[in-house]
Amino acid sequence: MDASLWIAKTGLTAQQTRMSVISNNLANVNTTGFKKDRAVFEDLLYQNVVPAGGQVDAESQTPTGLMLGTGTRVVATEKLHGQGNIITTENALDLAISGDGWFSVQQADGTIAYSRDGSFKLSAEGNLVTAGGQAILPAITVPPNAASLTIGRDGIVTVELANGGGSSQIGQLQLSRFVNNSGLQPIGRNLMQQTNASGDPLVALPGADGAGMLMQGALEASNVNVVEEMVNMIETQRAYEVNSKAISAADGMLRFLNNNL
Amino acid sequence: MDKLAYTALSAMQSQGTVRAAITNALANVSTVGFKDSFQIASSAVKIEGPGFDSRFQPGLVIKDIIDLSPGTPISTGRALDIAMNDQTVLGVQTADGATAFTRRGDLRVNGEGLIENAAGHLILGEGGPISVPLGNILGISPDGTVFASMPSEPNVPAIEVGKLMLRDASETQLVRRPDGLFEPRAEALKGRDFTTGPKPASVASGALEGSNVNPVATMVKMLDFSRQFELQLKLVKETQTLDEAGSTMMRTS
Repeated sequence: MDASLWIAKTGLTAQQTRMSVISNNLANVNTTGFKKDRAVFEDLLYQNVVPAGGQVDAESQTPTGLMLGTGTRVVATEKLHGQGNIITTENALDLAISGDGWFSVQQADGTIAYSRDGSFKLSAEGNLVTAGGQAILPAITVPPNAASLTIGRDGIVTVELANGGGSSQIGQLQLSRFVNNSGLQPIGRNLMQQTNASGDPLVALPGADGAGMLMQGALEASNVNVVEEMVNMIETQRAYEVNSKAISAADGMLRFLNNNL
Repeated sequence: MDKLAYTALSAMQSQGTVRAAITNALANVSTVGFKDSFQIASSAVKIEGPGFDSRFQPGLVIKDIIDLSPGTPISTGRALDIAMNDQTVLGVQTADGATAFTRRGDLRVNGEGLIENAAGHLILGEGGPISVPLGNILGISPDGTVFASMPSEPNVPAIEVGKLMLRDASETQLVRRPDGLFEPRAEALKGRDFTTGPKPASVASGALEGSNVNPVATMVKMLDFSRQFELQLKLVKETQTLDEAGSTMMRTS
């Protein structure tokens, strides 16, 4: 059948994928520590219809060739790791990372996942855990007689003991950094996993070796820009329409052919 | 059957190629750094010889040279997104190790610390792929110099880690490779670097260049070709009627 039908179809599929990416960004506009995605488009392979420099006759050659495109596709979705807004919550166990770095989260299968979501809780044993109940690394255990908890910008966790027991330092949080943050694989639940593309984690103390500072009593909001996503959505919708118009034009021609011959 | 039908058919076939190229431009209306390349004219080729006086076949005159007119800049604010100015192109390494050029500016650092674009092509510097020290913050200056600074040492000035292979293509014609990248049209320069033109090659950081396909103009072209198709088909239909009239006339009973 007509080649342009299939070429326009690749455009429709790619725009559909982009629409899903935009919808996911908009749905996560209130997710703590969420990083927006961007659909990366690429043109498909070209068909060499007329090679440049081919012989036309004994003396002359074609001056330029003809490379016929076969459409487009979404080659990747890329996470954009810009800083989200910092929202003050006044909760002692809420932490925001101002700058680069990830919290390490112990997974049930023994692997480590990484998260920017610092809305931590205490488990029944007094361990610092994520909102999903997974322990963070290095483990921080708060003694039962602690009256208040302070986390410094450098990650040092100090507790003030009840009944004038004085203060005591119970550990220091660490951050992991990656060469290529975009190479981390999102696994849902605000968690990322390292891949070959992200490289190995570089563990650093907060505020040292390029890692960001911690801010107690604050959370990092999603970095989705609603206006930008709306503009992207309009553009996607129009691009979709243009491609469906191409299909209906090709369809109209084929119908004309069928009706008239 | 009258040969007129074949003349119309050859017009329909060559216009089919053109429509495929137009649809490809429409499909790539959202591809970052996509450049339209296809320009077409058709010329009448007269077939010589006795009895062929009315035989004109359409011949396609194709100009498939990359049109480097700018696309819409899209501001992203990301330091490694660059938009190339004027007719600047960026050198990348192809899968087979040759040099090719692109207008894509969505750069990133891969797991080995080399700069690549989102399509996975390694970006070339003046001396091969650009390697970036681990954990540094990168910046790209307007002339394409890549700077790295260590966030933990704000007092140390940023060091230069490489210079992007930026070339001004205002005096070099580029054609497309099968993988969508560009290469110089001259046979001797295929898969190689070329001399930069007189204009300064420069980039703007924090923005991407959208596709330069003009959807309105392309749609109008598409409608034009749809109508021409119908016109050619009418001619085919007309020959059918003529043939029928001929056979009716010759009927013996």
